[in-house]
Amino acid sequence: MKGLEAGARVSPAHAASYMGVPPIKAPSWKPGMIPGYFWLGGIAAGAWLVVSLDDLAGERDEELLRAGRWVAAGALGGGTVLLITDLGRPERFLNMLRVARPRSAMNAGAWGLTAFGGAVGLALLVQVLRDLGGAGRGANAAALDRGIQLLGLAPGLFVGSYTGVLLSSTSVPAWALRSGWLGPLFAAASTSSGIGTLLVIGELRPWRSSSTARRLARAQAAALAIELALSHVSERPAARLPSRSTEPRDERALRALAHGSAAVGLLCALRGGRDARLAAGLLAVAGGLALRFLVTRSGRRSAGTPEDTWEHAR
Amino acid sequence: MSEQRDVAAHAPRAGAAPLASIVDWERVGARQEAELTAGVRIEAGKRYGFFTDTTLCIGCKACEVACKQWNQLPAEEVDLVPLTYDNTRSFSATTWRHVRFVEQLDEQPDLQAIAKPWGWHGSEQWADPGSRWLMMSDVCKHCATAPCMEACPTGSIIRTEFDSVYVQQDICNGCGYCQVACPFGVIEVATETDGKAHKCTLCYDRLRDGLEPACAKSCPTDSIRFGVVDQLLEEARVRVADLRARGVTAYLYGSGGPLEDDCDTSALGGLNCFFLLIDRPEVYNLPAVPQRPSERTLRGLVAGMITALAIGVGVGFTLRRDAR
Repeated sequence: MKGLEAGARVSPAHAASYMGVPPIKAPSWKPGMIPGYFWLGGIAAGAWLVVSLDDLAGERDEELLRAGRWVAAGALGGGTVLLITDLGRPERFLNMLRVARPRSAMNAGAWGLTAFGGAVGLALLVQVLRDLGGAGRGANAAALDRGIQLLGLAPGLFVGSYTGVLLSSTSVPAWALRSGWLGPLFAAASTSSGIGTLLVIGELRPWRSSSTARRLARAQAAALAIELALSHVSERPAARLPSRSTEPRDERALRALAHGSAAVGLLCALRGGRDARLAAGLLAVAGGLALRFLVTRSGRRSAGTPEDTWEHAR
Repeated sequence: MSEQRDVAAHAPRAGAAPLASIVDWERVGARQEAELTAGVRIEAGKRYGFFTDTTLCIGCKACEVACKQWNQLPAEEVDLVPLTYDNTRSFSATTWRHVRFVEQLDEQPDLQAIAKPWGWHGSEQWADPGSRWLMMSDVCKHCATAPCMEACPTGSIIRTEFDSVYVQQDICNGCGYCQVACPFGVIEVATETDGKAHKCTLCYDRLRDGLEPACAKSCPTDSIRFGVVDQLLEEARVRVADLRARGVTAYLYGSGGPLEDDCDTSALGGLNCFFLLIDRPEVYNLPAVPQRPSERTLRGLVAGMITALAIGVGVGFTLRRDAR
């Protein structure tokens, strides 16, 4: 420090701290709510993505489309409830929509969630009408289906990925240093747990089309491989943080669970067969939850470690 | 009259027209109390802040008490930071001024020698010329580009006509995103009480009525000085030069530019509340180079969407009809 050279007494950089009191605040979020929302929102986005892709590039399995829409609706509904419950003043959740500001990841997310929720709601409405026999089938119905799926595709991709950016746009060192990686990582985890949910559904109540389960398993393998690669690469920027070297046992267990489930799930998906596919789906879904808990937990601990902030803010 | 028009002219930054001051100072031709106590006239449209000279702080905590009294904030449970007289520990939803006590000893005293009666040789046992006590009254910095305000998804956090950063309590929904955005750990959601985010208001209600903030008014050594930021900066630079001439390693934290080569607050565009420090920022629990979290937002969102799309393309290939 140039300005301080004149004097004798200046503490060495990084040796200093104020009796270990954290210089920044840890999140006020209630335990479990936010990782739970990340996970459920991700499942909704992933399920939507995979059934849309099946419509565009695959077999147009109507049964899969129907299941995907119900999964998206259920998961998104549940996730939104968690998100609203976590607010200090839940009755004011609509205040998020009184402004539009792309510099706030939380605000952008609220708008993305609204758009995606609209598409999912519309899709569910059409689906229910059709199942009750109120809406016809045929070319027009197929075009309507494709239109609705496309409408929700961009907001869906956004909802699956912005949650990582939400974390990295903070002053919490373990998240901030991984900026640029958490969005992609969460996008991959969303895709794999969305496919996983559909895979599990298909093994519990088999699809009429025999190829659907096989194709889903291939998609599962691809998504898990991408997720594994991204979770490996995305950890590097934060590896030098002091809080990483003092990782407690429960966090190491979560890390093993997140990475292990993805790796074993990948092998199961590649192996094929009913039981292996079921295992792959379950592992992908469980691994997605473990990953979200791992990332939020490590951030909370990083916020409580002064040396992490000194490393980040210099 | 013209005063009111001035207020309206500066209002659009805050989004809504502020209420006019209760007293129309020009019409009554009176002086504001702030002119008598702080030597500054408070007018909408100017940048106000604090210059906190930590070399003058005696750790009396009058500022903390005055803040709590004026803003009707309850006391915290006593929780002493080890080895200090700091009983509030850090900022919270109900602690908006916080006095730190940094005790620096040249050598750790040899307790065993002191305890032995025959080891007592008078005062030279305690002679420790390098030891010192750094005290600092910390506060919300009212950053020029405030991370809390950028993070706020409801637009509850606004910039007032005095260039301070203010939480509108009737809009905040307690999402807590400002709390993790602040690089200084200032703002906090009161999870146990009203569920909303709270921090220093720069005594917005007092400024509107021509009173300087409660903490600055109560400071008995003038360690906390309230005023127009540019004038405070001039004063502060004179003080730094004076201290350096006397061999004290003084510098300003939060003056905006990269004054020191490894202490730089320019990412936040400077701090309306800045400090004179005589040791590294970390010693006072301040980050040397606070970052602006929103710089990572747009880039991250785009990277996330592109990756999601690429994953979609990859997964789309695997979903193709079986080749048979």
